[in-house]
Amino acid sequence: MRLFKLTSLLLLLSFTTHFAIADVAEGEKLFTANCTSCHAINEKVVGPALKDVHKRRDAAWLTKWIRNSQAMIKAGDATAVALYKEYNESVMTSFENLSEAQVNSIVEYIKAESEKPAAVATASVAGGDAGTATAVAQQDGFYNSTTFWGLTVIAIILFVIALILINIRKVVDQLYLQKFPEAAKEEEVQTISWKDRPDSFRFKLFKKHPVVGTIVVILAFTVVAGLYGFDYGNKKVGVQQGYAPAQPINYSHELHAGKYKINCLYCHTGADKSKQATIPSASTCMNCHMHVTASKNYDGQVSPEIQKIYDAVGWDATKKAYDPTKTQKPIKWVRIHNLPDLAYFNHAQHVKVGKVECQACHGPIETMKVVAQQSSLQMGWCINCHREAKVDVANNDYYEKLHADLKAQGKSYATVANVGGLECGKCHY
Amino acid sequence: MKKTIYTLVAATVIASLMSACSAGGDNPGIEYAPNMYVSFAYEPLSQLEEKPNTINPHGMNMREPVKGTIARGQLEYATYNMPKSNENYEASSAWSNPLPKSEYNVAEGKRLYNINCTPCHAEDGLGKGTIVADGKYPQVPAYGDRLPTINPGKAFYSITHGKNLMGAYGSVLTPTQRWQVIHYIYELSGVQTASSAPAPATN
Repeated sequence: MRLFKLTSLLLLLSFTTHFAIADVAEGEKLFTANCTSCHAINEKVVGPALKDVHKRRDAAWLTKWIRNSQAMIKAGDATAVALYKEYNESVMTSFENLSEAQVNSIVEYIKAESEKPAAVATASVAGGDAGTATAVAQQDGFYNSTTFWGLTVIAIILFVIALILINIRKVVDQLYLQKFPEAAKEEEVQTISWKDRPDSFRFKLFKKHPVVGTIVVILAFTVVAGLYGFDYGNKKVGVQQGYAPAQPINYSHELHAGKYKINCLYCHTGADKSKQATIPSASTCMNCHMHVTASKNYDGQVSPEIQKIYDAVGWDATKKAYDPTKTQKPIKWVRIHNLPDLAYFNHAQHVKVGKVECQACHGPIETMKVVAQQSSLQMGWCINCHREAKVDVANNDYYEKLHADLKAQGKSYATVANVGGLECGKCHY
Repeated sequence: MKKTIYTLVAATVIASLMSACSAGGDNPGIEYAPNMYVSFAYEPLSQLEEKPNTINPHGMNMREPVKGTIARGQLEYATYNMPKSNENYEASSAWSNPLPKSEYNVAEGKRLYNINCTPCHAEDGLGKGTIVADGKYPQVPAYGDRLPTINPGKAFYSITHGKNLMGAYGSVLTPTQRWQVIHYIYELSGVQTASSAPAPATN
């Protein structure tokens, strides 16, 4: 009998603990499904931090609040009204679909989370992120890199070796001439200056006809310098390939487009519908950065780069709201791709109709910490692509008629050149 | 010896003179005849420090639309143009999707969804996008859990003005595009709405 009592007690105990665990797990599931878009345990998000909420409020109040907070505010519950006012009058969604048991399990989960030591979790995250932060902070310009200094040292060493070798050769030459005097004589005959040999070409040119000689030299110099200058002007003047200016905010495409795979069009909204790809307004940044402050990398402070967005839009990071007393200041981004005004370019034509990838012209943007102009944007470069790149006309409504015409002409595919892409007036008017 | 050194020095000077003009870093390189390069008319997305706009506020070429103006092709959406407030959020539940649920609208919604929504909501709509998965953003509710408790009108309001931790996409997506996205998220999550009755397959 005693044994039975004991076992039943044990069973009961195990059941209750089992239920408690199940409650927490169920609560966690419900919490992540319903609450996390506004609440976290240890930090204020949209609503308050929920650590120890079970100590602040009693269970009945919590259940009532979660299931319909607006009703409580209308009924004039003092705590409820105060909370509503404190959080910029943002309405908490009513969760009337949650049963009392479900609400209890959520509270149970919050209780379990509150009792956990918070420092461990954040410390490990901070440790992981600190490394990337320093990596981002490091400017990896070519002139700062170890590669550059390594190459410089190697170049100096090679130069010194070359000087030594030249000297050695001289010494060897002298020794040789000392040892073989007849060779030295021959050398002497050969080394008579052209100025003393009237049969030589140089004598005829410079001694006999000095004017002709001078003209020939000047002409030759002009041709060489002119060719070089033409090539230089052709490839360098007005060509900004490689231009990678520092931007007012140290924004990294590598992080946003590379690591987080945010689509180009998320920010450059105009690329598929207008001439300009457009620089996003700061409100687009705020879509994520009203929450993402990277404070774990900066001892709980907002990252100084993200703070620049807040300054631009007048956002108060502690209140998590726009501060109407602050003046908004536009961010002065530096434009990188400056196509001259004499040429017309339309993003939508290329992105939407031509279905050209952004990277085709802009290079591997998703790997760039600082964006550099990849293509020369010269006319030859444009024309080359218009001649060579095939347009997928078959699966493009826009080209329906053109495709039919091309088929009639017996052409199996179309390049932009086939459809009038080489006409001057297409880009210059 | 002296001659070689002279040649080397001359070559270095010439090379450095030439390379100083090519673009790189903060240097855009040299430009010939900039008056053919820079637009004479004010262009909204290029602005020269030395050529401030003398007409617009703050010397900027870009400016906000005049208050009360409605973009071309968006006239019928003027009714949805409500400022952000708790009352208007409730009022928005009266709206239903004016677009027919055509193949085109859903496909266009999918394209826009995959551009604008996936970083958080994920391609499957379960709310574990790249940013959420990395722990930068808290877990986003799955559509299947949340959509049954609201309706397309409230979804439209939330996309326009943002809701809770979600930012506002009213400046990014046109009203038509917002309704297309709404068609797609209902399709994606399999939640039924009263207004999503099948429609003719034209757009």
